[in-house]
Amino acid sequence: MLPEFNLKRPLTLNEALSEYAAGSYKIIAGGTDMIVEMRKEKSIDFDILDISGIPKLKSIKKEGGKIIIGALSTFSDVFKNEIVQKEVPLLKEAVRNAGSLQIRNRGTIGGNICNASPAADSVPPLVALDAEVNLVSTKGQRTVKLDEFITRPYATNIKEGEILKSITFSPPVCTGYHFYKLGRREALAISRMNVAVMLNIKGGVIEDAVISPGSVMPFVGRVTEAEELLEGNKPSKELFEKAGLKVSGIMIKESGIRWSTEYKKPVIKEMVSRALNFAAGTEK
Amino acid sequence: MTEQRTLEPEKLTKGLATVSKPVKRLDAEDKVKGKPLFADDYDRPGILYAKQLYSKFPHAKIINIDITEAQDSPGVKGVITRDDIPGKHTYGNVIEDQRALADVKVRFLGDVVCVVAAKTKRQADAAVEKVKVEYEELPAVFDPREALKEGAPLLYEERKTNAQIPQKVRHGNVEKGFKESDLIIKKKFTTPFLEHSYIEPESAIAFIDQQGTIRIKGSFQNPFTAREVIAGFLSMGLDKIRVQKTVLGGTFGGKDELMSAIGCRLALLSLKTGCPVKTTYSRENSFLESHKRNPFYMDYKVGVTKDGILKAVESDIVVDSGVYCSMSPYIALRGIVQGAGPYRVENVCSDAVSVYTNNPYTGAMRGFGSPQTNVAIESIMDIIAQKLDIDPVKLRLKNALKKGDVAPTGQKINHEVGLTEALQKTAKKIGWKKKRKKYSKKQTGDYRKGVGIACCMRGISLGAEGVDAAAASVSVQSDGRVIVTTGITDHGQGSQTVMAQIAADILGISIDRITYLEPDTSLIPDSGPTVASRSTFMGGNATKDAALKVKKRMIKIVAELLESPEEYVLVSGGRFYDRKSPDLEISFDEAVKVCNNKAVPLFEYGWYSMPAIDWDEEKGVGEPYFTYVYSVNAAEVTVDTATGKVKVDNFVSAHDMGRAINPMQCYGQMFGGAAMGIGLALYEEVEVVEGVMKDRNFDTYTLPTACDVPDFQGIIVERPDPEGPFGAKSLGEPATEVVAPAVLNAVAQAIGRRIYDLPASLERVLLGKKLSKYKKKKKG
Repeated sequence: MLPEFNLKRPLTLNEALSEYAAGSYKIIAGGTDMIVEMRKEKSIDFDILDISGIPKLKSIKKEGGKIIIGALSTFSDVFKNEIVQKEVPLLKEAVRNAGSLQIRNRGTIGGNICNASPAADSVPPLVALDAEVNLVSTKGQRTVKLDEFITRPYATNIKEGEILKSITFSPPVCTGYHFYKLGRREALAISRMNVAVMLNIKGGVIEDAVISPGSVMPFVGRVTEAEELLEGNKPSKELFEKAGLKVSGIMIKESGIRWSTEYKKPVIKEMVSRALNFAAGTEK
Repeated sequence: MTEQRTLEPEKLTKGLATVSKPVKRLDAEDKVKGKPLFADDYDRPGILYAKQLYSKFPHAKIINIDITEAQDSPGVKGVITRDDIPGKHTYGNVIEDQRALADVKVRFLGDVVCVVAAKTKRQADAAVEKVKVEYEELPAVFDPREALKEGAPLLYEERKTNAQIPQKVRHGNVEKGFKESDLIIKKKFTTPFLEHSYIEPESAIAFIDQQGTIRIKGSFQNPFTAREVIAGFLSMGLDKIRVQKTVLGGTFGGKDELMSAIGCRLALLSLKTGCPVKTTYSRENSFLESHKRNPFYMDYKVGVTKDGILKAVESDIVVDSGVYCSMSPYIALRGIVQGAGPYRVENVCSDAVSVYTNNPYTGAMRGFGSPQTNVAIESIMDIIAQKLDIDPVKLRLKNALKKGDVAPTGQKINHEVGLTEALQKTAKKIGWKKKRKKYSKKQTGDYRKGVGIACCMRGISLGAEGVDAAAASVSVQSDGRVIVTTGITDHGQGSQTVMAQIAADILGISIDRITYLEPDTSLIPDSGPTVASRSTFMGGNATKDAALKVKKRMIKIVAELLESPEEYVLVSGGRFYDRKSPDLEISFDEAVKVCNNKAVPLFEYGWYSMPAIDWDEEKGVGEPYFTYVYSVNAAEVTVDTATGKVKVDNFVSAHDMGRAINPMQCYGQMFGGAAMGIGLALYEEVEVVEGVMKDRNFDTYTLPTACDVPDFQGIIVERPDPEGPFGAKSLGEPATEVVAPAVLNAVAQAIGRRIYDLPASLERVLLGKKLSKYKKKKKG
């Protein structure tokens, strides 16, 4: 049973910040991770600050050439948003099959980031987009790159009193993209592994390449060594296979040999290579 | 959804208004609107909530249970332990080893040591934590093959062995059979623990009525079994315990022994406190405490001539029973009785033994042992087909049982057998010839396709598993409306609609005149458990019996009135008439009035008991079941050979079920059964490591979703059984028991490699082995 807890539900960001600074709180947005986890506890020694009632954090907009996604935007909000659909279809594809419909209707992008699960479906595309997170507290604001914000599985460098307000990134310049999610089933699946890729191909040559895997490395981030391997070259199946092999090699270098490595090693290679082929239109 | 039906012109159903028709389920509309009350919806004033305390060890002696602090905890009204049991401490259908409250030992982590009842759920939760239990940990055993060895820790010392009751099948002489064989295949197979995955977890409420009768409403699959267990536990008469099942959110064999235990605990707490007591399980506790599908460890040896004629089947099977016997010996028996396939095999030697371990206990789950052995025999059939270069469908047709043949148990098949027809129709429907040929050619690229087929025979109802009889009552009201009850429970399979259809057609009235009442153990005779796909056959025959008795009585009166001979009087379309002069008629309602005026009783109990079977358990020969259903499934799959992901693209399910009383419900059974079988083949496993259950909810226990199953196709084959109601046999379990081998055979064709251990997960398909994040402790 869910343990008893005290709940505060502020309706403005300022109210939330001062309450958060004053008390001993954990924040929930959609609650789709934390409420589930709390069921495992007999009692909890913190109060709950439910920030889902702050309308200001729910918007998705474009300002000064940048796209700003309010932390409280749900997966469904992001999926349905016109700016996202038009300018960052990669993100749209990534949130399409996150969790279940119910989870997509409640779960937020901000929550997905702060929970920092390695299987979070929104994180690899946002990392691919070089997104920054905007944090705010009673003491001020700061902006951190997402791949620096999430430090390791289930951990971020969020500071005491800070609330994630929004995520900002520039619309990508790319000719192709793909989000590849591998789950044990077609719906309601936790990503076994996933990968977001973007390619910008000009005059038959890859100018820019982005490869951002999830549930593969012990950290979130782009695999620059594999990206560099692509840049300046002509897209080809062979090249993409090499990039896949590179990612696979780096996974083992970074994560070491784990129980799942025997499976993940050949499969991530193939996933990366497939995703790149999709993005380049050299579909295999 | 597509359907194909083969209906021979059939006297039995000619002119019937509802039987053989896709009548809408009686409960369909209410269920769609969310109206039914499930067990957890019931409440009573002054209610208490029960919470159970689980064992801390997979195997330990209980030295002491101290409940003093729990008793004084806020809101607590009652606490029960082993010391409070007024009657029998143990129960069990085969071996009486199960306990609602742990006694001197705990044997797995789902054993319940103590239960508290408090005014709120939260108070009950808090109080149960305050119970202090002193244990002395004992060595445990988690592998049934280890448990059989000399010196293994014993679950029940007094039994001197962990083996339960060994089962066997003996027919002909396998040594001779193997000598006559040109090819002998030896293979090992394993299947894991599986969860029933009913959407509604266990729930019940107990209270004492004005007469001092203990009333228990809840999610009972088998209310009569539960009543007997509860009466024994409380040392009370069966008349003083009244169990009523509420609308069930699925069971699949699962809401059986655990529901009996829950009934015992709630009833005792209700007696102790004088208050109504209720509990509803969390999903995690439902996983922990409920029984699972038995893991099977199977060694098979099959001999065949070069022409593909089966000569001998030998199997040696170890069944993990976990801590309680439950139905495991009979599950083992059904596994081997059906484990040589629906074939003419002259020589069979099969042994199966269920074994105690400190794992969660296992028991009945849709299929009851045969889904496991079907995987083995039907995989081997395909291995043979490949080695002999015979088409798998042709190989099966060569060996398929026909009327007059002798089954692998030595039983002479005297009934019509629709297996050949089902095989041919299934092959045609899935496009076998073309696809099998196409996919046999070298495939390139990551995505490979395959098509697979499998078939089985299923003994209907309990057969050698127990006494088999059921009751029904039919009561015609003065306005011509009818109330029907049977002792069969509807778990969602739609049995009430089937019973109503049978009663309606016998009485010649429309089905909307019939109200079906779900059983209450005090209002209808004990009809046994609703298991073994026996609803339509047993409950249907009992209903038929009751309705015929009432009808006969009415015909007598009508015949007098019409001045017609009784044998000329028929009833249909709501009127009685003389078949020789159809103008002579009287409406059903008028006839009811006349009968009432003459004080003719228009109610009757019906009773049906299964025809005699003849099974010699000692020798392993005879007729274990009275008749059989014949089933064929085929699957077409695409395997992503780079990730190991299998997608079932097409699936055909065909069954000779005797008669489809309600074709729509039959398709429902087939498609639901196919989804469940795909779960067994590809997705599902409750991982248990050193007695610790690692999957306790649906986040990690992966059921197939609607997106993971194809547009199923069903084929109804009808070879009416003279004994069945309107010729019907059964379908619930046949629908799921031969799904997995069809899928696995398709996967084998696609990847050119076979999966012997289930499920065929991503890792197994890609690497040929399972990977687990859970490490087993080192021995010593």
